[in-house]
Amino acid sequence: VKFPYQRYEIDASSTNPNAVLYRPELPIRAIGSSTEKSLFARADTGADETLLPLSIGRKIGALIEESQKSTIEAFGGHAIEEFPGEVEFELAFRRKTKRWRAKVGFVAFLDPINELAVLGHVGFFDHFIVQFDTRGRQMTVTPYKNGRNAWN
Amino acid sequence: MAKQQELPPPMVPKEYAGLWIAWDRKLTKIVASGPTFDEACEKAHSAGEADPVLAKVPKANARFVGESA
Repeated sequence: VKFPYQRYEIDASSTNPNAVLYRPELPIRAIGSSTEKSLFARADTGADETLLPLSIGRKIGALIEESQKSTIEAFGGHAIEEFPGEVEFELAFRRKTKRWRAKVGFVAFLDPINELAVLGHVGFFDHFIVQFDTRGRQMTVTPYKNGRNAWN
Repeated sequence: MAKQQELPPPMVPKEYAGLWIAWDRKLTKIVASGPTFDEACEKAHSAGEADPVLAKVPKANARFVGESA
């Protein structure tokens, strides 16, 4: 299934004079024990883990190990506090759906302006084969299990 | 789950930079925005969208190369 990149208008820069940012983001549904919410999350092959804001994890009632705070290192050595947990995700296109339970790091962002949702290797790429078409600005996403296409 | 658009979605205008936005279920228009996930969600509900799709808009002058908290 092909998903188009999301487009954002930004300030023009020397590296992006067109002032448009294309991002490979997927509309996922995060399902917790309290409620479920849909949101776009970036598919990031450079991310070791899948990350969600702690505020969203708490809102949906995700399983969060609040006593097991740890620190992960981001680009430039910036330290981020996260809490390990699990959440049910769903990705759908027309009648095709895929649900999976994912290990997620819930990040306590200091300022909401820095919040983001990232689909990384653990929790996402270990469930899907993803082909990025940067020129076409779309990605092809195929769930797999035991070597087989696993759309439901 | 959101009905995935067959065409590329509309471009998100710069006025929403740094905010959470709420799309309608068909992902064709932005129905609400706010500085937090909760606020954008609540505004979308007030606007009649019971089950919006939220998205965090990048800051207009930011380029993502890693995490920031």
